[in-house]
Amino acid sequence: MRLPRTPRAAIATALLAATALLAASPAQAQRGGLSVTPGILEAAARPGGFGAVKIANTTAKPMKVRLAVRPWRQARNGSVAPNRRKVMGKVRPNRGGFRLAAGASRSVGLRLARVPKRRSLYGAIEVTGAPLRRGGKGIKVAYRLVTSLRLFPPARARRFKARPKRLFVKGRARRGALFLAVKNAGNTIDPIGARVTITGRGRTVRNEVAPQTILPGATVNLRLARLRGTLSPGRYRLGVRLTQAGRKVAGFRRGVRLR
Amino acid sequence: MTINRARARRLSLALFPALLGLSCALAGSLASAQSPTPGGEVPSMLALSLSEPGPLKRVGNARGGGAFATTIRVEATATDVPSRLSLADGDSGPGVRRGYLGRSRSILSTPLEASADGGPLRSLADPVPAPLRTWRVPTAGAPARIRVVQKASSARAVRNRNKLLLVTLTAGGP
Repeated sequence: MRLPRTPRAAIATALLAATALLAASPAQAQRGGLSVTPGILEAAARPGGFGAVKIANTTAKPMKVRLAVRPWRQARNGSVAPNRRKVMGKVRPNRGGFRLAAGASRSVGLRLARVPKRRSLYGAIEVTGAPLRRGGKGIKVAYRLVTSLRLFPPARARRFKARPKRLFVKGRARRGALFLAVKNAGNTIDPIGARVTITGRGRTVRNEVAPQTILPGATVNLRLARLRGTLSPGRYRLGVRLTQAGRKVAGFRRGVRLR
Repeated sequence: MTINRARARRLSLALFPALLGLSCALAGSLASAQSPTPGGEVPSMLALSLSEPGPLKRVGNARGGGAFATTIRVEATATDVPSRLSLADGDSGPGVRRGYLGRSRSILSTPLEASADGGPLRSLADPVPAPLRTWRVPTAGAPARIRVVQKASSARAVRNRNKLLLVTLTAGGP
């Protein structure tokens, strides 16, 4: 029996596509990776066990897994990364390192040894997974999953406080930006925003700064306004009202000179 | 009335996918009508899948030599947003300089650089690794391609050196 030319070609193409799909899907599933649950661990800052993280190795090879709780390091532009030179001594995992077989998973409990002075603690749970046979020449890769640890203060001990620091201009009036360094002097990570009023030379410009998360004790440069030539060079009066969790936490008036 | 057999077979072959699609749609609608409201809980999680990078290959010229590059394929899953993909130096110990390709105490003069999905190149020598890619929505197996670039005087300079890179996925910020 001879099939017409066009349907035969269609069937052949469909069969080829199906074979390719079948061949591709197991390869993708076998590749697997490393996973951590939960992505953000939140609890009240009380001494004792407060939770656990579950680590799973879904690759086809065993892995050497390390878990460390580290403080965050925040850059002036607001970006954060775990400080790999330090560990948070107050938070202790059940096990710091272990071998995880292919397809296996393991839960690691976390315990707060002592409540810090601030009554809150924010850190990074860093899980690193490297294949057992490392070394060799060239570039090798390992997995690192960073989840967030948030140990909140009790409701009555929450402090919302921001401290404005240096005010500075980057660039010029035609093209630049106005920045204010702000320190979070409280003990929460509620984002800090600002309302800005710039007055002078017969004009008033208002701006609302998008709230930004600043770690307790850290300082971040908030961009108060973008300068695009709307304000001519000269002296201006600047009014700033810093807000956190819907309340005013600091305010000041200062003079600023744009060039 | 006579019907050409070949024509009938062609017609049936053309109608088969349409009939199959229709039956699938009917089965799906019946199943959804029988089951309760779709939905459920998704556990908060973070997962990463990596491919093994190949050797550094010459991709172009750079001042005083050439540019050598390799690619790492990544699949990221994150339920918390924003999730950020970055690359950090995983080597530690004496004689190791952050972000520089080296062998024992001999290191190259320029640091490794990386970019993801055609973004700008970022130096791996920075103390806070810059995010290469940010997802502002929950992702499940979102693909990304990290390109690692090393500028060196010759292929021989990069051949015998090594570096462990930590492909980092960070969930939700501080």
